[in-house]
Amino acid sequence: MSPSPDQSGQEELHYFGKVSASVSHELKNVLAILNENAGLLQDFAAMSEQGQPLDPERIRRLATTMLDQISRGDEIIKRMNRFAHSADDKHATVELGELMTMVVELFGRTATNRGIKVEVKAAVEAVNIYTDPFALETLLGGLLYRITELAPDANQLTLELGSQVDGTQLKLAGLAEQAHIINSILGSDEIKALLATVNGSAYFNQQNGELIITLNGAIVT
Amino acid sequence: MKPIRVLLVDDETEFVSTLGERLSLRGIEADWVTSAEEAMKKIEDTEYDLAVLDVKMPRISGIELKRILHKQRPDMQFIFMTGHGSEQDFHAGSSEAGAEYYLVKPVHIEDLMQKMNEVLSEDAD
Repeated sequence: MSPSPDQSGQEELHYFGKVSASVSHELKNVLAILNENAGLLQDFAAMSEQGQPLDPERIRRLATTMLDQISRGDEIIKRMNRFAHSADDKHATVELGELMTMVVELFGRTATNRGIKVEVKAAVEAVNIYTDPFALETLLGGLLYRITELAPDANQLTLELGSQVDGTQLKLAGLAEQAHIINSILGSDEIKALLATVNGSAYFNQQNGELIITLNGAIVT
Repeated sequence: MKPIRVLLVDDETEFVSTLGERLSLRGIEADWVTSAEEAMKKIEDTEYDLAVLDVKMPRISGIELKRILHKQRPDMQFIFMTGHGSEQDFHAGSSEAGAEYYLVKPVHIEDLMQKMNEVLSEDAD
């Protein structure tokens, strides 16, 4: 039985939930740091009222930390906003390097918690493709979540743009020891449904440990 | 009275270092580390009354770390902190941790102090 479009939609919703939960955790950490630094400033103010001198350099460092965290929070929110708006249009032209980078950044906190490094190797020149952006993000992000959950040994992965001769290839490398897991993931109805939605196919090269996704959408120059 | 000795464990350096400083200003002997591995080393040569652990940390979670530290120091008490943002997350997390001493970030220092006193006074009973 072939996967239904509903399965693709459910998987997209599931992925959106996972990313939202991860982002909210990250923002909570930013707020926690701001909270402690503001609290310490209050502590210093109270000590100063009791006659203890304030150290301007210490105050300056606290302010710097708070400004850094505001920038961090701003980046997190901008990324989440970009991700949320990628669901606006069912089909759109996307630059693959930017999309891959966003997916890996959104996976960042989970990767850190799982002790995994994921690197992106985009092409030097922009590669634009006409596709379903949100389904493609869900496909790539969903693969990262599944693989790193089921294969904890996969601690260094690379998401790379490959050949553009017969369709556009995306490669996920660093999976040499994970053949049985990858084949099972690729066989799941959810991944099959997403591949169908983005008009793509996937193949695992066991010899070099590369999962290759081929997108058959038209390249826009 | 002997001051409370506490070990804070959280992978967010700016958070845990500042929290440590604030607790020290309140008369608590607070050390801090940013990983489970460092925490395991730290308790080899220092006796703490209590450890305050972040639930989500790289490689070894706070929940797993509690199990490890408890084996090494059965008398040590534990409080968990988490970035879980919702009631649903909170209950799932606290049930997983098996902990009634559970604080959601951002942590109010008065709440933390109160929990520390509660957990230590229960231990003394």
